[in-house]
Amino acid sequence: MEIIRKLRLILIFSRRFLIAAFFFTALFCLLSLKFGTEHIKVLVFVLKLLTSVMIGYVTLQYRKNELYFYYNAHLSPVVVLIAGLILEFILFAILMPYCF
Amino acid sequence: MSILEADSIRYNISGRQLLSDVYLKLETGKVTGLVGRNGEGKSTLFKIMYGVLNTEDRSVRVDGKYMGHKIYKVPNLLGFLPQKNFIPKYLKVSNLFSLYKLSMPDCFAAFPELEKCVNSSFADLSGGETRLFEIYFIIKSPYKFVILDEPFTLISPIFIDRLKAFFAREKKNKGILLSDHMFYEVMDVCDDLYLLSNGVVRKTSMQELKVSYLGISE
Repeated sequence: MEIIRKLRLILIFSRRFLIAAFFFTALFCLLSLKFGTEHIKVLVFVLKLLTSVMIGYVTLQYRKNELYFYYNAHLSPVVVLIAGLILEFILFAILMPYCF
Repeated sequence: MSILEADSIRYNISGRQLLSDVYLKLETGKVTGLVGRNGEGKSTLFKIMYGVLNTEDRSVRVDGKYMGHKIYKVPNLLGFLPQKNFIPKYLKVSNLFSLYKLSMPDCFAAFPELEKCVNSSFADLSGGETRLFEIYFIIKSPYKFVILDEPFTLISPIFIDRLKAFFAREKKNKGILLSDHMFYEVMDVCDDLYLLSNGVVRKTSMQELKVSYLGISE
């Protein structure tokens, strides 16, 4: 039950940055489709990684007080951020075959 | 009875010694108050005790056992209510209750006026309503000790009276440490009082506080 609660909390946090991350996913996918050489695809993927990390980090900085909501569930910000990013990458991986 | 002791806490900020060798003791079954002027370091002390602000010198023990630096990671030990609202705005009140298995009837028995908010998200509530839900959430979660940073801020007088009654009921099961600038409310609800002044914490009494801190002669 504790694990389910923590997953729900990670989903609650992810909601803060998933929309922005998905916007950049769509943008990079479009760029990749337009200029889709192998090198560009790698570059697009690296950019996607960096953008997601940046958005997640900025979200944490911008909503510092909300961190106490996660602290009170014994979750550190790093764990929440990494779990949120993994979730976002899984969704990105599901979307990728439709784009490349 | 369980005892939480914060000991040897020192903290420097921009070359200024904000906290020097602070010692503070909480006991289950008691409400402990910490008072001090703005900028004396009350919130900083709370953050250090909770483990979200780093300093080289600190020791937090529970029943004599050292609990490590990140106290918030110890299950069901210490809950913390920060100064500002901290629940994500888009979360619904009912979801908070289901997430933490809190009892709605109990909450609305203590604060009947909040019942109308049950289907709202926190973005739709006033600051005071949000604050009451946050306090209820922290107090009713299964922590042995809780730290409340300015719990009476944003709360209207009628709710403050109910909050004080709520603290009196709930302190039987846990140790409560609170700080607020509403001195009379703090003095009313607390069993033990500490004064933080010039980086030093010392145990004080209501009478001493009235004379030395509020400047009331009798």
